[in-house]
Amino acid sequence: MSQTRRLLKDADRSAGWLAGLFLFAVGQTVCIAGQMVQLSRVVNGVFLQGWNLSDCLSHLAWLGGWIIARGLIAYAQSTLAQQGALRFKTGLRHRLMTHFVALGPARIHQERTGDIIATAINGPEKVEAFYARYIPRAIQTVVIPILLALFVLHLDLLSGFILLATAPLIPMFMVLIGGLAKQRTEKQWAALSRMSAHFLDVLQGITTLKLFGRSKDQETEIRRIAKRYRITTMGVLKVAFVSGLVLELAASLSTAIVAVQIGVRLVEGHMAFQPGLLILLLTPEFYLPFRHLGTEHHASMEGGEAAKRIYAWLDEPLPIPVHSTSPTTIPDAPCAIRLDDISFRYPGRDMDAVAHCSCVIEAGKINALVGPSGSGKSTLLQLICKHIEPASGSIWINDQRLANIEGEIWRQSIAWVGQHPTLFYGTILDNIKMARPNASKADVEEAVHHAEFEEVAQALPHGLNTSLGEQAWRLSGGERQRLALARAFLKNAPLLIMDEPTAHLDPDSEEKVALAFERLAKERTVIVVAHRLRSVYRADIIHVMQQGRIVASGSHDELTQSEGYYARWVHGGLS
Amino acid sequence: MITRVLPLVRAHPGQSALAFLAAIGTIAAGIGLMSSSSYLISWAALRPPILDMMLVIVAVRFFALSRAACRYAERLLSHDLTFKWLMLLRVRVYRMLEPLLPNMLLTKRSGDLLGRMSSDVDMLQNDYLRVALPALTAFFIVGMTVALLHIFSPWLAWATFIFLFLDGVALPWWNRRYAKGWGRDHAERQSALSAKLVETIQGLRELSMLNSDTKALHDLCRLNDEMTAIQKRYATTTGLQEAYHLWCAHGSMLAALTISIPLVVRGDIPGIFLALIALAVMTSFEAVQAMGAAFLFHEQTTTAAQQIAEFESPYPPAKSSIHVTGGAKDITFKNVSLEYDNGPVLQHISFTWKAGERIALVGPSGGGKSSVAHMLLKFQEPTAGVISIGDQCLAQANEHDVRMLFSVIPQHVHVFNDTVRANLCLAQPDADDQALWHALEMADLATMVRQLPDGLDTFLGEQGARFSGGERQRLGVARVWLKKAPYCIWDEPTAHIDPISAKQIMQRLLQSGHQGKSLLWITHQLVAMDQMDHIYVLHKGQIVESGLHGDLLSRNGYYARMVRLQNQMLRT
Repeated sequence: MSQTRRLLKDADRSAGWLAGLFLFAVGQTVCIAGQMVQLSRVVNGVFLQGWNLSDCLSHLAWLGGWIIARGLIAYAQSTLAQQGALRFKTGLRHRLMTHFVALGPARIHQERTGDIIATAINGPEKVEAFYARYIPRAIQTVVIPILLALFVLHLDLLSGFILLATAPLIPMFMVLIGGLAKQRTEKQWAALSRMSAHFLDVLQGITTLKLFGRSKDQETEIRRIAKRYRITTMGVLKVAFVSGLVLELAASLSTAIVAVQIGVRLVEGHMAFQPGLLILLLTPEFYLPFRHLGTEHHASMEGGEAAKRIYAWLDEPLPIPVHSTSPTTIPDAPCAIRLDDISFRYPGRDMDAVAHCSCVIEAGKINALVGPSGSGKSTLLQLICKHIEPASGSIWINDQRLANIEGEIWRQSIAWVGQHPTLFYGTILDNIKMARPNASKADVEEAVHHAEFEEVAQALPHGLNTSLGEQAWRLSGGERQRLALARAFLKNAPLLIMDEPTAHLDPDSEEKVALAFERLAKERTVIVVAHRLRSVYRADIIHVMQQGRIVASGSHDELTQSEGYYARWVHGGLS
Repeated sequence: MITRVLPLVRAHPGQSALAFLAAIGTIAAGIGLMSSSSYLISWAALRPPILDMMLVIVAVRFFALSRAACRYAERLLSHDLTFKWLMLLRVRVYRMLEPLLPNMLLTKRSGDLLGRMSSDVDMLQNDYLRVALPALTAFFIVGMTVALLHIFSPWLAWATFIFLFLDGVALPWWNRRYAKGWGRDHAERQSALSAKLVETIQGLRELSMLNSDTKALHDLCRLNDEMTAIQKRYATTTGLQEAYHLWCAHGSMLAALTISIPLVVRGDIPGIFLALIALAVMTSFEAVQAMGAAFLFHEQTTTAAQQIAEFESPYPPAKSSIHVTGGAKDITFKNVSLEYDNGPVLQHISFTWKAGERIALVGPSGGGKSSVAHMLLKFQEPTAGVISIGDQCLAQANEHDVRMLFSVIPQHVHVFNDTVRANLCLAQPDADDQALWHALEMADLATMVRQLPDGLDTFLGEQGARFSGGERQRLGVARVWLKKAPYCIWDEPTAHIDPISAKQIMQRLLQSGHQGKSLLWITHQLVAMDQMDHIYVLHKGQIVESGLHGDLLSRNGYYARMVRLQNQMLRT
């Protein structure tokens, strides 16, 4: 419930919107009353006073006028509600997407992409339905019955009291709608989604079923599961539909009571026909908003659910921007990086991923980072790229603290080649030029040449202009690596970080990637997470990482001779 | 359309009829309540003896109670029917898809295909609850109302009919037509936005390292704004729809009054009926209120039905029923080629897998190794060439029989959202606990399963959520221990297991139970190759080398290079 309150509060910021909806609801009530007054006068006139058509004309014109006004107000209200809802939705999604990007890859990649997409794409749509459909109905449910009850009370005390006697029932409806109906929809949706999950499970596992010759049995299984869910769900629905029954019963029974008591008083001559008919006409209008609200209840529930997930994201604090007074200069020559006793722990874990880690990444050299999986190598890279901040200790770039440099500016001096380079929608050329959008054709061609990507491009139907869309020209692992290397050549940054793939490529690709890497590594500070002996051999210095800290640094020969963990481990790694 | 729900009506005629009656009863009681109430008041204004009016008073009460009762019954019956309808739909779609499915998945390679299929089936449930039932009810109530009004005056009846038709058919139809292009535009923008967001989220590290994240965010916001712009254009139509409905219902009442007043003045209609006519006309519009939604759902269910039907045509199931009996025979591939739309996968592959022989199919990933297994299992048919088991051609063999000859550990083991036991018993339905535990033991999974809360009867959750990738693979290994078949195919069974366990499992598989069985081992990790009777190296769809491990090494060709490359890898 607090989620819907927060959604309302967000809407409150443009108070005019809510006030507009409120005014339209008042306008609707006036139209209803006006329309029914004219209708009762016409019927009264023709039935009891012997009016003919010409006597009625002005009343009929008024009646038509009220009807037109009622429709116009409904139109205006719906349009206002939707325009406002669209504005909120767009803004909300905008905030959400900005937040995702600002949180950065280290945080975002902890979640499943599918969940993020659902939150950002479907979530705001649900919120829109809440604003566009539920809120206007909720306002009508407050305004219309109260005003109509007052009007009826003014016409006839007894009938007014009958309507108001059902007023205590109204909070009860709300509780029923909010409680039982909620339970009802939840159960119903849970059962439906479990049934369709089972169906999907069977479809996805059909290869397995066929391998074991069991695919024909599944028909019976689908029947059995469906029947089980149907029976349990219907058991719940039998009780839950009672809320609808109570609402319906209250509406129709009080209409009947109003009609009968007016009838009796008319017979006895205690009441005139016209007000009696008017009250009968107004009674269903008194209950109509409740029924409408009931049908939009689902929109409110889903909106609340979606809001919960959206606000959970928006409430996550962003990394604090750097406000250092000293001007930051980004290095344009190979720089040294010194890690000074840094630690980092992922939220919710009980162990540091990087624990009191110190080492020096030497300038202009190839620094290899080795260690078993889970030893904190990727976390260390994220720290160096400033995607996460160390909890304690500091990182120094030459003589500057990394904490005082804006991440975005720092990353301009890093070229990154990941394990599984991502390719973006567009042509190969677009993908390479991302590294330097204003690069000239000659620059690109040079980068492609140095990265050994030329032969790949030549084999494609449109060379570098081949698009990587859904019809994917699938590049192999080695080809993707070389594309990422071409990006790195084009970026021409003083620091190169390469995360070697753990799976090996085919021998030809492997050779070419190595060649391109050696070319790129010249005259740069290089950090390579190594998975190959060759990479270890050609490194100037090797940092051995274990359980979140650097346990040894040195050249291959030094480390092998020291008889330490490294020597055992490298030899054990040979299969 | 309505014919689509006929199977449901045929399967449950009594309940369908009751649900339909209850739906009509709900609206009819609403009309009855307002008509009888207004008649009661009008009559009372003439001050008759109160006892004369008892019948009308009873009618008022009857309609009031029956309205609530009918609505309750209608909801229960129709929801129950919807569940039954979904079951019928699923069984029907499954029956249609079952022969086609794995082949389709191999070639289409589209992960969300099945998800879409499943949601298409979910969409079809609306055919009953949101299209057929409201449409039939509206049809019936409109007919009834018009017939009743005809008693008073044909003019009255036809005028009301025109308004009902406008509100229930013409305007929703026009509205759907108007919104058709909009819906497509909107869906396109939404999928563009969602594709861009997927790409941005998945590539966020790269974007950040390339300093392109701000630009990507800018693109996202532009797509978001574009989507909103389309929705804004459409926003007015929903409001218009609401206004139209009000204008139709109340305008119709106004028309009915205007027609009736002269008739009352002339004495053709008794004045006592005037209020009744106005109210009956107004309340009858409840019947057509759901028609707007019905048109919308009809469009969507039709699309869903078309999408499901699309799968039927291009993949005719193989009609072959020659039975194959067990017992190991030689399997030969003669000049086998396989081609997809975007190029060849395998080109002129020929080799013989002798009975009892252990052979390995090695090579870098993407070389077409798995396709060899798929063709053997008849999940794919070769584009050219012949595969035979003994002297029988595989193309004509019964697929069920063929599959029973092989026990397979696939690359991705599917774990069903069921118990451990059910997941294992797929392989051997009558297996006892002892056999199950033995299989788990052999797959290195017994310790893990013992720790589960209900042991063998523990539910594994969606997609086997309780299992890690490695444990899922081991479950696949355990299944193979249970299935008794003369041939084994291992398609990279340890690709997702950590190297140490992988080594153990492979060793156990090679040393024990599979002694003497024919084995086809597909792998890119060259481990224990010296235990193979023959190795085939597959590269870019062709067999580039074959022979024994030692021979291949000394030949110093592609295989030897692969081995050297592998020895380069550090164990991390």
